[in-house]
Amino acid sequence: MEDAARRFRWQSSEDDDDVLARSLGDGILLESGEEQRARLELLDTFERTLVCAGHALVRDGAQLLAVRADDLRSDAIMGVATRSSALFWWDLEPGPLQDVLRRHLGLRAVTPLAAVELRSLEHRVSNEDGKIVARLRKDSLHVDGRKLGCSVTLLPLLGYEREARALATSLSRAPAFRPSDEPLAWLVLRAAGQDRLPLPLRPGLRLQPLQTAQDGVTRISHWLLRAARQHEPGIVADIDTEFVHAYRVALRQLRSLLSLVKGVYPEDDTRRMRAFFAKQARATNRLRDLDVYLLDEGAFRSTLPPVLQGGLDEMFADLRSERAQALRQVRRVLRSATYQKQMAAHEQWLSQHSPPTGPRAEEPIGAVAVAEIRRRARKVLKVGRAVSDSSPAEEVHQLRIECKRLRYLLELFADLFPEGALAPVVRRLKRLQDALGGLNDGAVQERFLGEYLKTASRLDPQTIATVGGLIGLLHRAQGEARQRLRERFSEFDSARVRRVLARRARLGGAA
Amino acid sequence: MTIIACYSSKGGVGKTSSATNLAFLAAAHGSRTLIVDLDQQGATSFYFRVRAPEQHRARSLLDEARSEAAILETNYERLHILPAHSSYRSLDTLLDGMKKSRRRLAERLEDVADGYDVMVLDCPPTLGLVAENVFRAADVILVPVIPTTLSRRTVDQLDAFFEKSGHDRSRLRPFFSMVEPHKRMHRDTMQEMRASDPRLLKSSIPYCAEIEAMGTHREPVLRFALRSRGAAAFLELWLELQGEVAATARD
Repeated sequence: MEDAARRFRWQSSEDDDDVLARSLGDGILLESGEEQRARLELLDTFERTLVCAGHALVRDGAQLLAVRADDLRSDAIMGVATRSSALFWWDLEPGPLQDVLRRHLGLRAVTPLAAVELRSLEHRVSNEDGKIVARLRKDSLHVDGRKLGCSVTLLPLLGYEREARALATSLSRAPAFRPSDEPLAWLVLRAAGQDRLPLPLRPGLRLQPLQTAQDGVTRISHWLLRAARQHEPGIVADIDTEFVHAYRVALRQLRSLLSLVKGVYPEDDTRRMRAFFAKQARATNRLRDLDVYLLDEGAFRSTLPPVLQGGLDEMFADLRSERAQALRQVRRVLRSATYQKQMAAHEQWLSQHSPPTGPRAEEPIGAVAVAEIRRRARKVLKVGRAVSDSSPAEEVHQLRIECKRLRYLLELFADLFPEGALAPVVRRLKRLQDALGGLNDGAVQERFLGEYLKTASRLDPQTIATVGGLIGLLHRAQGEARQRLRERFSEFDSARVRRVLARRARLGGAA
Repeated sequence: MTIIACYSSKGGVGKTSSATNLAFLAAAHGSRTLIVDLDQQGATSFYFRVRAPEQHRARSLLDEARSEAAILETNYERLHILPAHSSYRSLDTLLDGMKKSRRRLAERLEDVADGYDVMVLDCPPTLGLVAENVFRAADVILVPVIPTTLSRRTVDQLDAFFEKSGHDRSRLRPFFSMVEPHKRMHRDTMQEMRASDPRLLKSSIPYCAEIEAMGTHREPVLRFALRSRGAAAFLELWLELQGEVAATARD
């Protein structure tokens, strides 16, 4: 029967109950229950997904439970984990706790971020009839015996709202108490220095059409580089596969930006940067590929009948040891002095107030954006129209690349256009990309399996049969995927899209 | 959602102590419970240490929003109370002047009961329109009976009233209250009544000093004297009642 709207909360640096009693005013009788102590370990992802969603995952001794981030106690859902270090949702036994984690975590793992002792004491405020009119709960956080913070929550009773308000007023006026909505879980994270949220990959900057092109590109580039680098510790610690993925996505976006919007810097500088970031991204290619295969293991297995499953065991065992090796190599690179020095130098270059200029540096970014979007869209149409059912995979691949470039530009410069102006184009482009993606995934898998058959050191007949069977299945699916591609491309290659690009891609005079 | 009424046309038979302790037990066992004190004497409200809110009157009971506005949280988890007010003494008269007088209060009580799992009605010891409405709303009507000759007559009178008004007599569940087993009259009456009335609950509440002391402690007996015979008896009664209610729900 407690709901958030009826709670009042204060933070205090004073732990003393006498201070609390005095702050409530004369004539208020406080009775205390027993102090409860719990040693809690708080777990969450790199993005603090759970706490941001209002949950807190805590370990209390051997017990793992999800509670409300608010007070670290209500709505407790218990569960059992099969591991004790970085936890994925699938490391929990099926049950309500696993459901909660599956809903929020995705491919992220949770790790212990903070360990505190939580001491809770409930006070009861009674009237002269001995009727409890309000409850006050004091929660204090301790680490190594040191008190880090204290939170007092007023829990009103139904029908005694007036009394609750009077108490709340007294507390809000008391110098020792500061009204605060902050969930207890954030206090815990802050005490452990773990309350900073990572930089999102989508830059939190709003571009203005009349900003110079160089200014816009530099700000975004700097953001993307910092966003990429923040994942390095997670990659090295091998917490989950999303760190590498996010690192690569950020670098890819950075490279796209530098190649799609040329001319804001001198050509040499642009080339230097593109080459460097491409090299860093390449260093993680193998690791990412292997991660994707290993993540797909369940799906792969479910497409095969039980009799062929054994053949997959060896293949995946090989993949796992390859992956371990790929990780070792990536770690070596990331930890090297060269890498650290070079990355720092690039960060610094991109945070200059006035970097060296190229021919387009001073142009308004609005105009540049429109020009590039139109150019890339024409390229997609040109390449796509040349693709037929019998086209080799490379041509389809090229179309996919051109679509990605256009898509990236549309997302990057979305702020510059009126809301919804380019939506028809984006929608059809997405559908086209979906079709291309499906086709590509199949082709990549086929190729990978073919290579595996050729290069694997030990192959028994069962494995050969299994892999051969998989290749056959994939090949058949390709035909259907091509059909879908044709349909989606003609949706994109339509009068509607052409019209939008010609007319809507305009920015109040900047076109 | 179950509505349990505690009714007796006589006072001093253990009606209020039964309602109080049974409501406490319902809440303690996990049900969201509301106890409604319909007796203008307000003994239940006294036990729970509450007073009716400022604006609350008899008339409030005939309006869903106003009834709900008067509900208070007790000192016990999951247990709420709709307290009595002295103006309740005119409730029969108030209802008499209205249309649908035999149903109106019942319908409002059912509305209010909506947010709860169990509603316990502590009724006034009168046989007027309030009682009629209670009989209409309740799923079970508990009737505490001190096992003496006179008490038999009280139950018979209630039966007759039910027949005349067209209420279902099987919802009446008498139980023996304030039992003193060393008294021969009690033993004999209990034996006779059990032989002829299958509706009698098997559990009975003994005369118990701790139950009497509720007025001093102002708490359910299960709180301040959990190990007393009275507390054990109420628990047994509650468990038997739960079984009955479940059986009725199935049929």
